[in-house]
Amino acid sequence: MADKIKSWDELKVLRQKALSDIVGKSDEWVVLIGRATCGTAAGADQVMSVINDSIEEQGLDNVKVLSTGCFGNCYAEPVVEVRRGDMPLGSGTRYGYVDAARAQEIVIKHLKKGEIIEDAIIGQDREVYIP
Amino acid sequence: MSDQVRQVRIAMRNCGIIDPSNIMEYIARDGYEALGKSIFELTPENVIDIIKSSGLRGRGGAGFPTGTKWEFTGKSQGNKKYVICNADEGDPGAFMDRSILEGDPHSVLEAMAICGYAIGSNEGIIYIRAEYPGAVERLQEAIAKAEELGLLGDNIMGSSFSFRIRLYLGAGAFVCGEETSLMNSVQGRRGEPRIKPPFPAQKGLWNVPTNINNVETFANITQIILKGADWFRSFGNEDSPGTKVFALAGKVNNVGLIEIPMGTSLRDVVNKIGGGVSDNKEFKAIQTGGPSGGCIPAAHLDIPVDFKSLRELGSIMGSGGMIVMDESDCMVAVSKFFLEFTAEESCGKCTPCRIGNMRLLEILTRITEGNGTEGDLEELQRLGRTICDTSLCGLGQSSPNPVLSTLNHYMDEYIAHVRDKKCPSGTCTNLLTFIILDGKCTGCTLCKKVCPTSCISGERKEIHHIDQEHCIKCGACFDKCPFKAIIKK
Repeated sequence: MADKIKSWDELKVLRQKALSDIVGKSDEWVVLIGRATCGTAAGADQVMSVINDSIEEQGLDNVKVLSTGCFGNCYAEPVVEVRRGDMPLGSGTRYGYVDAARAQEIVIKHLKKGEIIEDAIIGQDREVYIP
Repeated sequence: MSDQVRQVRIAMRNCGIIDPSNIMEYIARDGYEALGKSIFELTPENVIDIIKSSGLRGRGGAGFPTGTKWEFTGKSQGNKKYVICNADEGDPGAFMDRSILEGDPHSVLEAMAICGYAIGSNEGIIYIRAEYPGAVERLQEAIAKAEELGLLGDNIMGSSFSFRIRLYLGAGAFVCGEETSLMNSVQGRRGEPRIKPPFPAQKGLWNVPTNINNVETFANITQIILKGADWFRSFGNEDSPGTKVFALAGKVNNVGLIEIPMGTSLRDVVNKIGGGVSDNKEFKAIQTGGPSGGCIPAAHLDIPVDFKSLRELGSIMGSGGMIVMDESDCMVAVSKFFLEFTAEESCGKCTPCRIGNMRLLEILTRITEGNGTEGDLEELQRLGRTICDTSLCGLGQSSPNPVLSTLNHYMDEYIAHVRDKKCPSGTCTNLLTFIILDGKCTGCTLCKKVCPTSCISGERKEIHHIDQEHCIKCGACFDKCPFKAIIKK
């Protein structure tokens, strides 16, 4: 249970802490799974279990698996984004149409060996700018 | 780079980027900084000025200038005021608000608190449809975490400003997305609209000044406070500054949520961002604004997407639904589809909407069944206009839009239905003729066995034949035939 913020400055201090907590190491991975209603309806819960099971099977201890909201690529759900630990939020590799087989492939190829699965990447034809 | 057509994410800046259950990730991305700036650096009037100068217009459909609404509510007398977030999102196929609430709930909470500070309110209510359990869960979680950290609740960040937010669940009525019906619903009454004036800014929930804004409108607030009105105006155009989230659906390759600067052309939305019409078919129309909107044909694909241009063509921006249609979509059937929805959802309080929409629906149904006349088309126009002009609320005032807009742009299709009794796109089953092809029929008798009126004749291994006089066009034979020997035209 965190303490209540009692001033604007305290918020700024907390922000610095939050920013440094997010930045991990270059040999760590963060996996974001789109688990809004759209992703869940398409099977994202199953994808999450497959990924978690696979990580355990492979004996990986440097992966954080998180849920996120809607990426916007609803045509390609379930969507999974993989980001290296030291890279900023939103900079990961985005995979689409992820089924159980692809989910395992992501763990074995990308997380374990650092190999990007080129033909599973989506969204390269659409630029998204966050000002 | 500026010629490049691209998405610009302001309302959706955190969606797909942060874990919405983790308030620290929201804080890391400047979360609650705008609230801090408002409380500690700006006066309520300053905040309202910034929102006014930004030119932000309501994103729920009406497009009313947000800053002006805040100003009216701020100036109203009274020491009890409410901030309401309209998260009812009733348009079929619209899910912009759901995605913002599921992906970045704190941005809405923070904006509501900023609004409360600006207008003099300590209480916020999010009216959210019960059909969004995921969003409800995210919001409840987010409110609890924000209160735990002192970012909502009493004495926010140690200041003298307090703001509490609670949720109120809807019960499935489309009309409760209309602000006065929404307030009646929160008060435990039946969802029926109230006459305006007085407007909610003067007499709203429980008859006190109330500011109601849509989810997406709120999702823009924190960035405007942090980066300024001029920054916001650098996107979009004079009529419609900023960006808009659209739910692109229908016969398009990349269905999903997109956020684009206002003023992007429809053509670019469909082709560049949407990836083009699916199956390489021909573009026929794009329907915007959900059941209150209209259809825009190919001839107008180069118009900019903004409030004014869409209205001039007989449609509306609406909350952001955009449905792409191809040659296999029947425009008469489309307007009937939307009217079925609005007629069902009419609260029944005023005669034009309650009775008028039923009559419109009856006429459209007759037309799609092959029993329409040319006189029906004039009646649709006359009745449609009357309903628009005389209904009590936005539901009735806009329910004839799909009919009026398709009559305007696709008159030839209506004429084919009423005069020639033909559906050019092959959709209205009653106007189709089912024929068994001599060359393909093997006499397997499967179609004969499923025909509910026994109108198919023919012995085993003989070519079968449909008696058109008794055929009810159910299509059962068409679906059953394993040799694709039955066609419809």
